[in-house]
Amino acid sequence: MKDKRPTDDQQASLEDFFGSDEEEEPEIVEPPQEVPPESSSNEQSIDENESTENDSDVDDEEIPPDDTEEMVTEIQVGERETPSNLPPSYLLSVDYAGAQRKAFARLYNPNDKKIYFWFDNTGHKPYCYTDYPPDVAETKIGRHRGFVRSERVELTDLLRDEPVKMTKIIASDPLSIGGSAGAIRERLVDRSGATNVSHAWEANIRYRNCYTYDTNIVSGLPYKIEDGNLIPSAPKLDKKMLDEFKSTFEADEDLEKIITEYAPMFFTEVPDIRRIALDIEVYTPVKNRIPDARTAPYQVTAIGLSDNEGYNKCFVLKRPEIKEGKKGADYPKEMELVYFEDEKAMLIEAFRIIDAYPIVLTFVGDAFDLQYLHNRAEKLGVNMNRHCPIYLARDLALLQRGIHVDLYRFLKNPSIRLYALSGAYEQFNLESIAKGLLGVGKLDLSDDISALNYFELAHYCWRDANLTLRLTTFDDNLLLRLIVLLMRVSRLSMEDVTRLYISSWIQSLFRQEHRSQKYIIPRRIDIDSSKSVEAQTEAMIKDKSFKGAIVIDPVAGVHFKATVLDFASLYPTIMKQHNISYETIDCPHESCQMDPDNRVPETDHWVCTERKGMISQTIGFFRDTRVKWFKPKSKDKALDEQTQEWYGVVEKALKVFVNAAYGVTGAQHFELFCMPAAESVTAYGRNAIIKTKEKAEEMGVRVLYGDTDSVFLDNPSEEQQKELVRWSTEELGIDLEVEKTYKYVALSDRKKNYIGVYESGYVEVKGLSGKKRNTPDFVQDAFREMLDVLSKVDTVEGFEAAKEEIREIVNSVIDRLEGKAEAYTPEELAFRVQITKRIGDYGLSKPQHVRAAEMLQKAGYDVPPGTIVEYIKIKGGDGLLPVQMAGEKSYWLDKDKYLDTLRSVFGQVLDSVGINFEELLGFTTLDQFF
Amino acid sequence: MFHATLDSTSTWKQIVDALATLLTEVHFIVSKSGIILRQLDSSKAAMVDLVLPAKIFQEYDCDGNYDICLGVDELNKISKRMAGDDRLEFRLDEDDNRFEIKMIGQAQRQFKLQLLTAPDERTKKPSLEFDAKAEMFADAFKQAVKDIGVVSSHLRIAASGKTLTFTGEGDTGEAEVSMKAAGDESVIFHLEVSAKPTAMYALNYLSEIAKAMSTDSLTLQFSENKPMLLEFPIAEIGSISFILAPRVERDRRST
Repeated sequence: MKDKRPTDDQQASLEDFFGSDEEEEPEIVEPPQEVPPESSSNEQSIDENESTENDSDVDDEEIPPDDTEEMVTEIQVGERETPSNLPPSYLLSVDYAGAQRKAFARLYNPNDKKIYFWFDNTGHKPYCYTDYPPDVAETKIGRHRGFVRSERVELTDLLRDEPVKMTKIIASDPLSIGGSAGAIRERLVDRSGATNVSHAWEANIRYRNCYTYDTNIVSGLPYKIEDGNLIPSAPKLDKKMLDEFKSTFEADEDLEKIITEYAPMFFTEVPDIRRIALDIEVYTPVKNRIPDARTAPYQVTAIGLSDNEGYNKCFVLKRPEIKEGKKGADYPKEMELVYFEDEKAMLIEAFRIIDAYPIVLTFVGDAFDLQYLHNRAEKLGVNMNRHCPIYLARDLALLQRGIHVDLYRFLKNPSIRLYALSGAYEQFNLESIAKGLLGVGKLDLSDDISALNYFELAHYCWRDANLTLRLTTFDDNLLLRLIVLLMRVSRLSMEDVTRLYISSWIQSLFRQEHRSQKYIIPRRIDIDSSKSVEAQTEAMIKDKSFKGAIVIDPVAGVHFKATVLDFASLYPTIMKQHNISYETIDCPHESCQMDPDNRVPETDHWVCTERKGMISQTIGFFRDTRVKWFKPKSKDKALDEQTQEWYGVVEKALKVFVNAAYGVTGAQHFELFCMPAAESVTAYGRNAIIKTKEKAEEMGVRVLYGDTDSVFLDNPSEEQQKELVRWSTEELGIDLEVEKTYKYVALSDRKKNYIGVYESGYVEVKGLSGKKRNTPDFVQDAFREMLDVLSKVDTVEGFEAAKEEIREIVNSVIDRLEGKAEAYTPEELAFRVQITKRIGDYGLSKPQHVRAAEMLQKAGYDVPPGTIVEYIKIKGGDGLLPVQMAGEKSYWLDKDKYLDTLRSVFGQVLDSVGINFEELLGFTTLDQFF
Repeated sequence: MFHATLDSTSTWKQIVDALATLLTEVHFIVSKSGIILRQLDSSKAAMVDLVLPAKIFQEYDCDGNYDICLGVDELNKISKRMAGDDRLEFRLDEDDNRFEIKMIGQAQRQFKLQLLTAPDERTKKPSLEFDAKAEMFADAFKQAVKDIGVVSSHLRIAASGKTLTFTGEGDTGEAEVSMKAAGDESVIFHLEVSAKPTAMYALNYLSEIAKAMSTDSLTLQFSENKPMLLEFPIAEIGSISFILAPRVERDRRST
């Protein structure tokens, strides 16, 4: 339907004569630089209750590009410890100190559990490259205050696979390169032509990363300081184990290098770093309103603190109107309640405590807790230099000494949620996350937070802090260890890795790779101009620019004993197998281009056989080591438990990278995005599925459905399954795995919509809206009941009995809707949708939830962006009513609207099992009577 | 060979209107004795049964058995072009696979419609027995349907003794219309009832059918929780019937 041309083929379209402007290439003025994306500034106002509605089906392509603006830390490290000798300590972050004009590192010494600082002593300076010869470059730069000198260097241009001479422009400080008006990189722009052409390379890398790459520092690994020098000191790896590890790969010189580089990262364990979690409560005169952290207008009433060594306190401010109250049932014995008469004194004491910790954990600390504490302290006239360890940057709250980890930002990261933690939680509030990961929730409150008595307030506040801490301690410090591993692989500091997304991690990893090999990092314009930017395949989905994965049309109906075979990490395997990387696709070698074996299916692209692709090699290595070593070994009972657990963490970290490899590199905004590479990966993917389907059919097995990397087979025998798996390894070079056999699968005629029932009775629901969060609870509950019934069906005949049970479920729902049985509460009936903008910012045609928000606002409720609006559908008036207002007036439920919702949710499933929803409602058909 | 003429365009329009309420394609079965059509709507909740004996037509020649399958939209559009005093002429062009409709009036106009592929199976005539049979003014039935539609999306009909009752209930209230088959003023001419049947039907079907009714009287038959039959005469000796599946009360249904 995307093509809205007249249906008559003979009719020409005017577009044919004018030329379509759809695909017009944007004028590229400059390479993508440090333009802060709009999105990041919004996060300030997002509160804990943000729903995941918009992120429900995040695929990695939609991860927003990360902010790359240069930022200079005005850190006061004068009084900090900068020893000239330090035993092996874990490097937690690399940063730049404005005052000293030097990079510095924070190191955690596990012996005394303190943070130590090390300042650069190599004289490393910020720089960028240009293709202007030094004299031209210097003329262009003119008298820039930050310019130090230029020098000629030779690098390798991977796009052309040849050496290239560049001029290195060295500056005194990072802001001189980029990040201030009139910076050097701005001066390296040729403005003489019709369009401006930038002649700056690698000018948009933050200096702290630039320093890390050049010095080959790996954050998260141990370093020692000896006579003022920073020296890697990862523990010696067991030779036997390392040899065994190496032997799992085919001998290869390049691989040897990669293994040497990564082995310390993968095999060095992570200590239980000393850390404290903090949570605050703030008085608010308006119920449900979260006070603005920027202005910090109200008193901080409580500060909960909980560390990993048994320190548990809650500071509580004495207020005249508040009583001590009674201790709740599970009031924590381990917590000490400390009263303060003076708010200022309370803040200063809290600052003193947290300043002593290497890591401070919060949940939404960037946008709220730490920001509020900082701004409140300032407002109360606290001597900030002397007492406050917090400093604020845009959307960030950082610490002078330690590292602030805002777990909200880290756990919101889709890679962490979906891949590392297997989607254990769906909403990004502490309640859901703690329930999902720890199995416990927040404390239920008896009153408004501002009116709570001291015991309950302290209990509530401390519990939040304690839950925050426990998020990093459960499963033997899983999350802490994961963070450190991700730091190592992505070469990012702890502050960065916990706040940035996978695309930045992968970008950082490859920037490091280029730097260490003396390859120039190409700019998007370089890749686009040396390879085609036009896709050769046509997108089948709107808004995509090239052809994606294949979906085999489902054979609608119920199929017993359907077996699903899938390709294990198909895209990463293809990238590795076919050597697909930005520099190896459509490579400059004529011999590669001429060899028909190198041709990519469905396209004119070819792959390189002269050189190994950087992306394919690294991702391929991650994939292989995960599959061949860490995954099996994490379950290997022959190993001690600690090693098994550690391998489990490494396996998860690798999974994150491997799963995202294609999503990131195949996304348009990625630094090394290359159209031919992206479309070649999907082309090979389609090829694999099509070939598998052909092979299965040749063997006499019917293919019921297929999507991207899996095929559903109609009751294949063991031998047939084995034969296909063997065939795939031999013919395609991709591992095909028997993923599961369903008791039955009910396919609807729409793609990506089915239920699969396992022998165990577990029901897998794909793409059906019964699971969507904005579906009212009563529908979700009924939907679950229905699945429960369907899960018990064992034979075709069984559906008849199931039908009657489902009829009962539907009947009782309708009875309750009609008021014939216990009526549903407004909460059970509520549709929940988040408003993402201010109400005034919505256009004239307002969707329902916005109209509900408007009604709330008129009734005196505060409805900031991020609020999840809950409303019910009623007859008359506006057709809806916010749940909060449902108690105030009488109304008629709009039963038909609710039936529509029920119908759309149930219909999707019932159709595929041959049950007519209308019939459940009492509609009959004539054929029953003839 | 099939050829027929009809003097009354209003009869033809009446037929097309009635068919258009339920169907998107019409499937006429033409034989020596006349034209019949029997089809279920797409949801199988309703059937239309049309009988047009050859005698309705002024001229009627048919030497065999033909399936004439046409799109309702097209047929409707052509009907709208007919003038009141036109004489109609129908012909099947087997060679070109066309159905020809000629309107002979001040000008002679001819439309040719391409035949659609006929379904493989013909719908069988259902055998139904009814507990209640009412002959009544069509208008009284139309008003009752409209009345119940104010509050409800379905109509319950009950017959008992000399009374026919239509009721409906919705979320916001109830409605009831009752008619007695007694006296000269009665809107019901004749009522036969055995037992005391009640049944419920979807109102959206009834409204559509009521709208398409253009006769003065109709026959209504139904049984307890069984289909309803509504029958109208066409050109005295022809007839058109609608059969409607009941809506079974959810909680009365045996489980």
